[in-house]
Amino acid sequence: MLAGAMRAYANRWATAVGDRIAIFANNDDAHRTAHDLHQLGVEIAAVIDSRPEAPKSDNFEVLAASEVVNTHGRLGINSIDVKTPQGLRQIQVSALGVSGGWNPNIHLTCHQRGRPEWDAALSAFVPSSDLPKALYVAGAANGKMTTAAAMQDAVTTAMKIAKDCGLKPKSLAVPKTSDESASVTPFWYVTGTERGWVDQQNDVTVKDIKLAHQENFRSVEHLKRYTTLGMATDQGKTSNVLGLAIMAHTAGQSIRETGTTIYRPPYSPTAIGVLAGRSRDMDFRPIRKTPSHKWAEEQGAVFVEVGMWYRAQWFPRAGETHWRQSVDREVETTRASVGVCDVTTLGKIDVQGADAAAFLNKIYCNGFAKLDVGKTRYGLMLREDGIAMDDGAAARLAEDHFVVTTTTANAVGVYRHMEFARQVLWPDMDVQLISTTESWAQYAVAGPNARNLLRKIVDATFDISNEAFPFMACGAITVCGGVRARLFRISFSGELAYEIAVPSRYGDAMIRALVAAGEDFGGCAYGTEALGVMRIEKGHAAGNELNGTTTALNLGMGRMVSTQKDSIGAVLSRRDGLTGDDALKLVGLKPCRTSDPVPAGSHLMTKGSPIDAKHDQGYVTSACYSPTLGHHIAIGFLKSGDQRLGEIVRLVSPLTNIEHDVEVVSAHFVDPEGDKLRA
Amino acid sequence: MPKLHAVSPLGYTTPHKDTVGAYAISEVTDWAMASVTARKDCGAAVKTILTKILKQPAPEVGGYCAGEIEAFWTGQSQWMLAAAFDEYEDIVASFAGIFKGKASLTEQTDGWCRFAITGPDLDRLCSLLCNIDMRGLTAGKASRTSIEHIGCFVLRSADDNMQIIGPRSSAGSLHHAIYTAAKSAPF
Repeated sequence: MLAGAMRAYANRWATAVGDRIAIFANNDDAHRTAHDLHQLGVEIAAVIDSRPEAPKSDNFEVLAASEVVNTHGRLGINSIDVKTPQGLRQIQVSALGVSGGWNPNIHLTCHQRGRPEWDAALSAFVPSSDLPKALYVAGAANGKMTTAAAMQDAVTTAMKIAKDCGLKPKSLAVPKTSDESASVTPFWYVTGTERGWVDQQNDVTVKDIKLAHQENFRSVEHLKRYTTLGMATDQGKTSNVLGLAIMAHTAGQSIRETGTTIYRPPYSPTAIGVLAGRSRDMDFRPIRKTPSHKWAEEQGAVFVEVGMWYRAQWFPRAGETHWRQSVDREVETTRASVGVCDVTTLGKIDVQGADAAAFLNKIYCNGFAKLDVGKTRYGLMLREDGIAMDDGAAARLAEDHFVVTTTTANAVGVYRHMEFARQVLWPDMDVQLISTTESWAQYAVAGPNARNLLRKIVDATFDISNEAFPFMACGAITVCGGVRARLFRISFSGELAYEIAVPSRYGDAMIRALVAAGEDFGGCAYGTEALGVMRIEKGHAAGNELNGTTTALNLGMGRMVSTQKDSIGAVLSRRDGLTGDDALKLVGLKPCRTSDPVPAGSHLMTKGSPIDAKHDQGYVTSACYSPTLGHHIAIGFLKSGDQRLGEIVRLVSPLTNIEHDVEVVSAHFVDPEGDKLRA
Repeated sequence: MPKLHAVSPLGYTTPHKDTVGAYAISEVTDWAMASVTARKDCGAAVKTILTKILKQPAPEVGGYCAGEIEAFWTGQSQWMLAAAFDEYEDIVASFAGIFKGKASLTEQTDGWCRFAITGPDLDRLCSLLCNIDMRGLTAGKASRTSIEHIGCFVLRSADDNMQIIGPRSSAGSLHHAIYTAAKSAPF
């Protein structure tokens, strides 16, 4: 072990690492170790010093101009072989301390890329002479390796700092110290041995460094990475200089020419946990809970993580042993009567200002300038490259006030995109944005009895009849005797549907009130799985379809990209490469044999063609079992799909050994004319 | 017709309070809040209006004006305005007239949870939570920061009193972070 460590154990913790110790060194400081151990009663077998002029001692034997060339023992040292000028000697020991001299602690001086310089007299690297401004180094860190020299350097440096600060310091007396010798003569490795250890933590040997040189990993950066020299927890504090010297010697150049790596913080080994933060496991990242979370837990809901949100996937009831039973029931109940779903997680962005409408007209590819107050419109926004980015509904609450909704997953991205557009693209527009996602608890109420349910909740002063509050209407209302709320008549399920929002503090009470009111009609709550099934049945695109590769044209919404105005992505969406005759189009798919599934991720092939990427016709994006239709269905993209309705194509999934026929149909499996949602 | 009862961001019917050693961590639910953003070229006018409402100069960059009606700076020509919930529940309607179209006001009351923290050595407590230079966050200052990955505002009303405002949906996670930091005292 390191001789310095032996001394520290003895002096600081009263621990002797062996009862008969030898020290192998090339410097005076190691003799101090031997002296201290001897004073504490430890037998010093010998000090083996590589220097011919090694100091003598009255208390223990000093073997000058000698080297330890081998050790013996298993699970510990029993004896060492020492090569002396007089010949080979074997010495019985229980421990061997080694010391190659001290290196200044130069790490801090490297943290701003200061490059250490080689001090040949010291045989060590010292701080760069060109340090960053206002960084001063004094004492041993500056290569002053004796107490007296360190004190003198401290005084000198302090005076310099004071002068640099514009002060006129009085001269300081240097404290008197008992001086000690710090003589050191370089001794890099023992020649002629099988293995000479260099990095004792990473087991790097002289042989490894020579091999690195042989393999042409000669620069210090390459040497380090090839051998892992200096990459253990001591970060090279005990091995770097040794390794560099051996490389320099092998390469026939000086250490100064070889150079050194620099150090980065932390100086002391630091647990990664300190950097990562205090929390772990479930507390490692925040959880976002919807306003109905507590109620959903009480219902035994099965949750899914969506980003950081926890959303209820389905609400199992007694006797339901498989998720499909719960989801099918929730879909059937909603389509037959009424269902309630927490949709709070959808992003909500408040858009205000005199140019709010003009701004949205540029953000969305379809028109928004002429949207009437009190109306909601589906909007599709494109990326600059013409690919679909996100979709949602934007409601116009006043001439200069909109609420934009985004998908849950893209809420942050869309907000960032809009802020970028506002601040950078059109800074002269009078538009103000702010997120209100968390301010409002929002619930979808869907199904033929949706209006009847809401009549039990919405204050009677507000007329929510089809005539007064038609499809795509929106407005501020009050519920349950005066609580402020917002009502939007929008539908993701394809049913007669509303979304109702109340301040989040009433969200828990609201879900309880809505579900209780729905029970009068045999209604129920539904989760994200039923939500997904119903939107696939209706042919509504979602994240699987807006997958970062698809355009409005692919989605069957090509005509929504207005040519009457400019909007982000509109021009590039008309690129040749995106508008070919064989462009992918969103279609529905149903199995020819009704028991077959139509799994997402499967690819579509023309009947009779080989199954390979060259003949690929498209792919399935979203799939489900449709309780409404009684078989599996899917939506996906098919080349020229809109021209191929009625065609039988092959659905293949070679990885899962699936191959069967499916029929290309309209993506709108349920209520294609939209009669239900306008009822 | 059912009556709707409010719950606090942590889900309680009354604001939750913890005492951890010398620290009190209290949910605060009796403030209504609205964001106030100046419309184009109206920054100065909005500051004047805010000054009138607050009865003290509107907060400058990084500033927080405590009072019966309070405000803190949140961005360029943008502030959060807060007032007693009982009196100003519909806070946008309450103040829209005063701003006369010179600012966009958006209700933020229930978008956030707020924890008041009192106790000694808040600088060191906060240094476990976020990277704000707390020596600079003296009384009357506010800062936006991230606490355990949660975007928050930290308001300082006195040496031994600060408020942390974070997104309502993460109230439980934020509370956990503050609570465990307080449990680490003495630091």
